[in-house]
Amino acid sequence: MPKEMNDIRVSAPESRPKAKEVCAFLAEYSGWLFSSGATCIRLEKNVKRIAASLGMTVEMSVLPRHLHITVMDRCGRQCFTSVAPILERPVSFAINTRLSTLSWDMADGEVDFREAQKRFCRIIDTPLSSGWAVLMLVAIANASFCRLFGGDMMAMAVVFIATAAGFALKQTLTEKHVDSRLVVIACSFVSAVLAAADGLFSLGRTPEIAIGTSVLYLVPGIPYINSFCDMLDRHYICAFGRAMNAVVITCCLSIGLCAGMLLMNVGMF
Amino acid sequence: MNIPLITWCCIAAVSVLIICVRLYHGFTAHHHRHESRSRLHRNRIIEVGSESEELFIPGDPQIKEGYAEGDE
Repeated sequence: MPKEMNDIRVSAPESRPKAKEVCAFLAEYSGWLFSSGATCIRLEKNVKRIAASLGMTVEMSVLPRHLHITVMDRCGRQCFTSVAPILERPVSFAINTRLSTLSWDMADGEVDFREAQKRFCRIIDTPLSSGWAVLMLVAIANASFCRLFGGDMMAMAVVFIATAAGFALKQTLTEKHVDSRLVVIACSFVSAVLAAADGLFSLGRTPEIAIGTSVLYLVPGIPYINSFCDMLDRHYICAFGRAMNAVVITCCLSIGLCAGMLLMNVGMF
Repeated sequence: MNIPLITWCCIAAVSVLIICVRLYHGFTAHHHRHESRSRLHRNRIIEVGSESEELFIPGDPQIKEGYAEGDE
């Protein structure tokens, strides 16, 4: 596997695709990679690696909702620019990893451009993980968080149920294409209200931990981490965009949580 | 009137309803998928196989099915 750009095997000139084709491919590739949860540095490296393996150079600018890609051949005779939208889709590390592997395979000379296009289509057709499996895992993870924060067994059980109900609502509303901010408000409200059962029915001894941890599954962790990574890499516009998106989601989460706590007469501070 | 209790009961009832609807949709979708898959890939009792499936020795070149000239 090549470690440096100099180690990339460049395809023979006669078998090289046109810059226009490469530009269209890279625009779609970057849109999918970015939407799957990749940071800007990963995006840049992968795209430049693919372009180098095809004997071309690429320049790109990453904006919060679009990507601009310009592909040039080495002689500078052909130059194409493409704008790709950033899709609103769930983060998928499976797609992320496989798209990165594709770029390495192209750099190693194991996959030519035509084969790469076919493999790309297969990768983006990868079905999402089973909804029920994700629901169960999220509920278990949130119950574990409750335990980590000092919740008792009854609080864990209540958090498990509250998370499962909230996540089921999230899946249903997302399928109906409801605005993601409204989804977060509704889900945090439902989870907070259901988690209040611990105190309402005097089931356990840590009702406040149950309510506090019941909405943790909605915290936008990946956007926050990616925003920080982008900032370190001096992609300030993209970092700011991601951070703002994460802050808005956190505010929506807080609105739902506070509304639930107020309705359930749970003391906030 | 106990507002928290009523709110909790309403939210719990709606949540149970949502989960039941999702379960129902999940089962019907799975049933349809299973049916269409079994229709597509039905196991046949008798089938005419290709020549390479019947007469193949490890190391044989993988050639496309069909007869060469003069074999007919």
